[in-house]
Amino acid sequence: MKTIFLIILILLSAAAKAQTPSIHISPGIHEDQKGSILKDLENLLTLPVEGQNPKANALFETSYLTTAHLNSWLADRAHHFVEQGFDFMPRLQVLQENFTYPNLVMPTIETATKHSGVTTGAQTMQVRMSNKGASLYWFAKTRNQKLALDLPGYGIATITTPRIGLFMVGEGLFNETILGSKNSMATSLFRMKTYFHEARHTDGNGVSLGFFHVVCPKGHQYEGFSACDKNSNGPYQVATLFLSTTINACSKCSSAEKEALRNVQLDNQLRIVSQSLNEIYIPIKHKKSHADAPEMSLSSTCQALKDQGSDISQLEACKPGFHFNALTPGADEPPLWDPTPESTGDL
Amino acid sequence: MKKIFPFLLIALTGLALGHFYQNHSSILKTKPAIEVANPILNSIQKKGSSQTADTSVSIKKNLEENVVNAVSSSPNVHFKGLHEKIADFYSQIPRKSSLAGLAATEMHETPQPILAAGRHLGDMHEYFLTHNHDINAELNFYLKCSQQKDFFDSARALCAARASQLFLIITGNQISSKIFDDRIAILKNQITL
Repeated sequence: MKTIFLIILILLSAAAKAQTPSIHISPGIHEDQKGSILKDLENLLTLPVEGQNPKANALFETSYLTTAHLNSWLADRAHHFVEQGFDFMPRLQVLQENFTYPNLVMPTIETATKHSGVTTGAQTMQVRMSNKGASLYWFAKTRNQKLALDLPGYGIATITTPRIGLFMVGEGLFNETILGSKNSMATSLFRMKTYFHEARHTDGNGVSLGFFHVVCPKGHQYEGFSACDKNSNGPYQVATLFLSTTINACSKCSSAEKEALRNVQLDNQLRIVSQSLNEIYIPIKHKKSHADAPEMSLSSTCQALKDQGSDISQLEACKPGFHFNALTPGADEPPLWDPTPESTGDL
Repeated sequence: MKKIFPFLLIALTGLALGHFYQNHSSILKTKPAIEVANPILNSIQKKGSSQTADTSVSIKKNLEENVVNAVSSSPNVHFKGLHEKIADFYSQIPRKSSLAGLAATEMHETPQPILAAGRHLGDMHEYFLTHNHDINAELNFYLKCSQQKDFFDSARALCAARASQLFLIITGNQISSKIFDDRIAILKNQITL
């Protein structure tokens, strides 16, 4: 009986291991960084998912989101990690000229009006991660070539699908912490969010190929930078929903870490802009955390705050003559882009 | 098999203890005394009906004194008052202007200054959770934070969400979303606290 129990235990742990997304990590990635990546993938297996969000279910293509779904979603899209500075050009091979791609339509790639800030010499660029596989597929498609890449420690990978899942890992991914340790679960969640964001860039076909970002509109915090999405299921939405389903369920995260992660979630959310790019996206139904309590009028709120001893002079809306210009909820909702990959290639 | 089983059991217990220590050692090492004592203080406050008020106040006072002594005698813990804490927050939290010095590639994902702002908000949140304070002072802090136009939108929205939560606790009503700038009001509704 005990032997059977032991065998079951061993089998169960082996099964758990088998679920980890199998990612080829280039030998050029530092050992400690490799260790962090592997730990992140291991953490992903034990990550509880809280609450059922219809948007998250739809995005991760399931009727009931579980940790296993998140793992398999990532496993389908992330295959190779290479180090920052990896030189692709000498390793690219043209396998075929005049190669016919399954969808001739190309995505629109907007040109950022701001390319860089005033970076001083003392500052080092903090690149976290970028999806090079989608860019290489797009590059090959524009030239009607079938390309392949010689990856150290792996061999030849043909670039016949954006799902090649080739991510470049930057130093910045490991230099940041949410709070405290680089190996804390909260910091691990932060890195995982990045993997999921990049994984979305492996999806799409034709106009949606690669789910390329758009330039953020005027008045936006990231105005002029290519750091926004004009769809409701792009990389920033993936990151938002990944965090929204995991933050509150993270038992190993402190209250402070959860708060800091919520700040990251909101930073991703605000990058989802309306189709016309004139304003940020306003959901049709506001998600209310305390739906049963009625919303007070502005004047009653100001009075209530005054009664509580709040300094309402700091509140613009409580000043006499304040005029509220309401945006129209639901207007110009960003569309859902087709996530079907253009081709699954040789995968 | 019977001979191996006790050893296996010891090994598994050792592994489990090691795992527990690995996951909790940082908390055990860094948790301030007041944070550990707060649940006790709160439970005493709640148990007021089953004890005489005098006993409860006396025990609470004793505990508070012990905690303050423990905190002030520890070289690593500096006990800060709320005003000092808020002043530190305003002097240290990065502002929108700090994005100007960054490269475009850093905008692709939450840039460093915004992460730092989140850490400051996390620190304040933890402070409010672990220190006795006036809930109105907390509401005021979050309201003021939500109105700072030079703060990052995510930070303002998080403050607005906290202010809304506190307003509901205090008044039993939802705060008017018109108190906040429109985009902040929209954003704050996207977060579950």
